[in-house]
Amino acid sequence: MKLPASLHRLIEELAKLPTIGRKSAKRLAFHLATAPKADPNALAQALLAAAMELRPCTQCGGIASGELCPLCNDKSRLEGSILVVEEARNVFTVEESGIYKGQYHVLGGAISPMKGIGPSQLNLKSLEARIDQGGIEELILATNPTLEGEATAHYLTDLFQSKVARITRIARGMPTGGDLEYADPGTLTRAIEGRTRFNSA
Amino acid sequence: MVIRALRLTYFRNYEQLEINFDQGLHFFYGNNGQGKTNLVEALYVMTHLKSFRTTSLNPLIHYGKPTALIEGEIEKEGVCHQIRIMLVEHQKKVWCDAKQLTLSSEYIKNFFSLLFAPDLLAAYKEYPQEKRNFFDRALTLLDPLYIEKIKDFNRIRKQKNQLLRTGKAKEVAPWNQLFCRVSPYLVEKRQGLVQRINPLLKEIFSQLTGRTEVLRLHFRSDLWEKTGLEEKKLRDFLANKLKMELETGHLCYGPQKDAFWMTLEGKKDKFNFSQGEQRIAFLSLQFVLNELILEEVGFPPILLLDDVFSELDSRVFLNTMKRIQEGKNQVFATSAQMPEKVLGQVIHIHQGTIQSNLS
Repeated sequence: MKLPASLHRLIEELAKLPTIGRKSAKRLAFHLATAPKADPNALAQALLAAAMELRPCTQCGGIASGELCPLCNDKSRLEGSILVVEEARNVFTVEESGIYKGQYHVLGGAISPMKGIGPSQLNLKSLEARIDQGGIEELILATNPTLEGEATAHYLTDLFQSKVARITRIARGMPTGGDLEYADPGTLTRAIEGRTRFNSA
Repeated sequence: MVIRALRLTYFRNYEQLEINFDQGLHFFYGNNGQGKTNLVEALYVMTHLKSFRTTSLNPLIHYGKPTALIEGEIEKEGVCHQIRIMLVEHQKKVWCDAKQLTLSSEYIKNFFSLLFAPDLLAAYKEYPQEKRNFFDRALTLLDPLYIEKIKDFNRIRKQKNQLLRTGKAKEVAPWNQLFCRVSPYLVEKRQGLVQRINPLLKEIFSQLTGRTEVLRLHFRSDLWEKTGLEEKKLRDFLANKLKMELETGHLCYGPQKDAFWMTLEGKKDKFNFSQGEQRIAFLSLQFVLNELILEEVGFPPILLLDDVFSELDSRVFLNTMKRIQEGKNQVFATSAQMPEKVLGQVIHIHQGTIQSNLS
């Protein structure tokens, strides 16, 4: 059976999204088109607003709706440190923890020659400019603990070690609430190598 | 470790085959071209998830059929595991106890067989990469971290080669740092393995042959020779070689160049060994690995001996049989002749079927 053109288009567009397969795309599209409580108009408005408004923050490369993202705009955040992540969504993950009160920088990926991603493809110019402005005492490298994330961390260290007093890398090892049983040998090795003194007092 | 059962569907020249095994020795005999080596290959795939005859899995599928199935039961440390390996074109899907595997590494850390086959020996003799693969496979069992390290190394190598090929000298440094972190581990483990092999190799070679010459395994690593694997030296060394690497467009030094070879009183294996010496040396090496794995990992690997006896003199043959009988391994051997003395299960293979199965 031939579908109405607009429904077909909706399915095709939904199916382009990550983690959405063709079957899911169809279900979503039919739901939007037929369910009485679905409000395709609200979704369309939200999509449109997001598409019109959102763009990379000119300072950190995170997601902003104006010039600067809410985090870069927030004057209460500490100025002396920058935490570097691969993707914009990583910023929100770190923010959820509430542990970090400083600045962020989003690279937009990690170095991978096989995928054709080199330093010039990453958002490094603005990071360099931020560091050159002065006042940055610590650079925290929070790229993923993959080979590509590690290579990126090495690259950043080489690039900035003469300019920043303290460059640190997030620790690797056991997840909180994790069970030793489920840790792979590589993770366990890291965890044991990076063990810290334990004080009961 | 014991393979209790094997079922083949459209594997090589077998349309359907079902066969049960016991502990101890199994003899597949039959004329040439009947499918003896194919059975050994199926048992090899069950324990390594790849073939020793081809890199592509496609030739293993019966001509004109879309898929091949290797199923069976492997008993290890008192537990029986149901194995199912499906070959579809160039891919394989593996189930262990009805659970599909996502990583081959988990499987090959658990199951293992040692193989003696003319095909494997020819490749081992000729290609340094085959030798490294051979020892690396043993190290995946002997060292739980080895397989992850070698995977990391291969990926670092690919990434760096890509930069060298495209002349991006400025971006090489981080990959050199990762290289310096992983390479010494591989080299040290390989070196350690060779050191552990040598005393046993001498002993087993003289037991098999009655000869007094010393059979020795040697190992050479350019990184070890040039830098002693010291971090600082290693990093400087790599930095110095960058120009040369850029010219050739690939890594010039590293574990991917490590060399293994054997000598017999100064004679080098590739050039000076006779055919028979090649075979005995390789067979001795397999028996050494068998000892090490039994000692370290605690289970005797399966021994697969494809056409091993055809070129051995009677003394070596008898000593090999003695070793096999005294060992704890389950053994599968092929031969064109019916063995004179029946020592275990004797299976006659004819045109992809079992003609008789006597024990």
